Amino acid sequence: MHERVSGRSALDARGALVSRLLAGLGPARDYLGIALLGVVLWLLLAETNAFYSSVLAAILIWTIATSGLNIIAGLGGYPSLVQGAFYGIGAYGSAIAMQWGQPYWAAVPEAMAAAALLGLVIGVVFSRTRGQYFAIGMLFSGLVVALILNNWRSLTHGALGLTVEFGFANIDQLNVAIAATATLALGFFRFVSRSRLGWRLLTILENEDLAEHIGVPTTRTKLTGLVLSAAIGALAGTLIGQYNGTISPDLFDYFVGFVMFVALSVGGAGRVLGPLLGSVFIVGVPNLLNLPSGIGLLLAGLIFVGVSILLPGGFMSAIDALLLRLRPKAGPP
Amino acid sequence: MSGFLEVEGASKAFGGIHAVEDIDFAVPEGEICGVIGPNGSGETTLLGLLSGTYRLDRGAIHLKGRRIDGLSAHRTVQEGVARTFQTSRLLFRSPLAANLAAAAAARPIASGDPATEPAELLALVGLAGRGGTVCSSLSNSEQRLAMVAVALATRPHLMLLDEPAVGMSPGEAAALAHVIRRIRDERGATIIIVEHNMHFLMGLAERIMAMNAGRKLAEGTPAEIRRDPGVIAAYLGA
Amino acid sequence: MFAQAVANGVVLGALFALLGAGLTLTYGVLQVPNFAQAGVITLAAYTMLWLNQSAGWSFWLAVGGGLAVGGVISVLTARVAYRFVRTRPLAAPVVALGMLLILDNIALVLFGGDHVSLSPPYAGDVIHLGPVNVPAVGVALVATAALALLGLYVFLQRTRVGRALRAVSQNAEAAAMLGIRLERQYAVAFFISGILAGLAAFAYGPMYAVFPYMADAILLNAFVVVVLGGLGNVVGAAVSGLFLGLLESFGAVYVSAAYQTLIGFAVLLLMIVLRPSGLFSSSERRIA
Repeated sequence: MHERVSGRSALDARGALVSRLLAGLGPARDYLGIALLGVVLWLLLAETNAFYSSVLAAILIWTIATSGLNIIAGLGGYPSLVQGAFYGIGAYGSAIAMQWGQPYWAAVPEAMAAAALLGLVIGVVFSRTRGQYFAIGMLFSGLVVALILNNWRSLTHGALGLTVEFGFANIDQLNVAIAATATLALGFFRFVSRSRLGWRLLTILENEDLAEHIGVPTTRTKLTGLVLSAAIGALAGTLIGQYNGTISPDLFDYFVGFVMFVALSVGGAGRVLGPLLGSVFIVGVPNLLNLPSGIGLLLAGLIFVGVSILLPGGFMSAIDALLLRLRPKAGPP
Repeated sequence: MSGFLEVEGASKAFGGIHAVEDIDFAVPEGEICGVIGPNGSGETTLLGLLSGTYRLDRGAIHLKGRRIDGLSAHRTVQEGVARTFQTSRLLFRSPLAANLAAAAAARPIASGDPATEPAELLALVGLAGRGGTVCSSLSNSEQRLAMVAVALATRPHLMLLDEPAVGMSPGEAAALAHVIRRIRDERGATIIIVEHNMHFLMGLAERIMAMNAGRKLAEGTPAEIRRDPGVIAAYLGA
Repeated sequence: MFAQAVANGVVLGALFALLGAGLTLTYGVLQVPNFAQAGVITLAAYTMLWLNQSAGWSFWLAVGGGLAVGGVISVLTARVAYRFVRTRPLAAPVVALGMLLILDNIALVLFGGDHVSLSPPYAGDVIHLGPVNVPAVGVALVATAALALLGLYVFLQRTRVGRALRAVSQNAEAAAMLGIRLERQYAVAFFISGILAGLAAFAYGPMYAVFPYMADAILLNAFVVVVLGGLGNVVGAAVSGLFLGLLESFGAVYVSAAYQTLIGFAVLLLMIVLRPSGLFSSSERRIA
């Protein structure tokens, strides 16, 4: 009849967010903390040697993409597996727009708009589906998008890939952009999670059937969440294009979307810092250890199954538990 | 026809099953109306049609002159219709007060709306002081009362209660009946109750509609329904 | 041209029917989209290859070995991953995908990424039926599918275990109350699904080459077949598989070969909008 609260439940952390709405954590403090973090990240990005800096750049770009994913998947609870497609559209969209003569600062919003539109279409098409079939629909949509773009050789050069025109004055500017965007992405998520959209998504996560009956426009809310996730995913894609200089179709592969979801789950879905922690682990570790991609993916799968079983709330929930133990007198929020 | 709630020719089928077939009935404002029928007669489906959970196949539903069939569930809430469910539906991992806050945010507050402070709602349904309890920790009867409070938080004109007294002891059911009367008296809500607990309903409802196999069987005061030969046959024959 | 399209369609349809039947079987009992089945196909194919070429077993013995491995791996994926999904059905596709990645990449790590060839004794032969040319492996595929599906049908209708499986598929709670051990039925369903995957590997491998991601492309089509036939409906899946195979074959001939998968996707969209419960069942199992 009713579900039991379980200490291990992934949803505890997110369910607590709804009640934290009432308690409040002083928003200014959070944003200041995020901004400070951003400065630290930029310093690391700019000052460490080329190898570590490139790993950090990859981590931060993934943080942006997974922070976007955090909206529909973390707050809304819908395991969107199509984020990889939006990421790819961001990369290819901006690169192609620049090929057509658009300046970089115009190409980025254009690519984001394209991804948002696609997200809207996919969401509307599959909005009639229930539960897990929505997730499956998104997975297959991603597959089809990848297929179309892969085969549209005149536009994307297929497997050959594209070179990306550099839109910044120099690498320092790019580093600033990456760090700043990551900071903005985290801050934006913080903002959304406390907004009306955020608690509507959380309500849908907790009990979608009830949500509809206490006045939450579930379809519209989910679509909004998906569109925002798509746009932010594309934003990350534009940056990876700039950073790598070339892009290829494996940006789109369905397992990119899956690994992003793994990163989010490992870090802590629904938490502001979850994407950062998850990306550090999922992107940072294999890169630092220089693992071949097959092993990397195998690990991603194993980690995902492991995290689902052992630590559903991700690293953030482990940190929560640790903090609780260090401050036993602190009551529940 | 009274002008408050008017249902005309309502029909709904699921696959080959005609859950609700050609129902006509009307409820005047401020009435407590009961709906009874043997299991599977379509009462819950009828509630679902009124609340926007299901779409009518045929017919029309008007609330205060406005057509509400065809609206989604959340739009129907905007029109002032709220419902409870046969099995508890709450945000179980959140405290009761959070549930009430979420429901209260459903509609913009208009002047003249009754208060929806959590404390007031909780006091009204008999759960005073329980706002901080996480809903999964509430007992079955408390959860049913909580659902009523949550529905009330949306400031409805029409409340649809689906077997609210299920699993309650006679004492708890009597307290619930008192709560429902207070809701009608103090909040001005019209109330439709689907119930199988006859003792509970007969003392509470002012009028009862009896259904059988998706169709309306009889309509009248509790005394009239009790004596109706068709109703008796349907229940004894079941 | 038309006849050739029909012939190709029948071969493709047989493959889809085989895959769809296995997928719908596991859907019926656990409501999980068993994407990992594609990984089972891969590992079964590699096992057959390894047994045949490295361990020196005869071809048919190697096939048998591959089938057994397929069944076992399939049951293991259910035991390891899918039981957690029962309390959180929304997570099912992601968990299934995770298992798929694990299996695919185990294959990659163990056997390398090269495309290798599974060669039955009749590999090069082509059979001529009037104006139509069908490779012998294609005929083998159709024969295998027909026999396997027939066997499955008999199993489900005539044996006690099979009937128990159908009972669980229709109503797990009621079946449990009748004394049917659910866990055992899940194992049976997944084992059979694994065998069917192994048969698909044996039939599909020679036609399309063996490599770690060999089966991923047909995932979508297999799922569409399941939706068409009705979730849990084996006969429906078999017929739908044939139908989809013919549809895509004609699409490939008359429209474009690269976009075959798109046809499957388009069919899925149509089903969602028009008839989510499938072409054959009026059951309440719907995806929309």
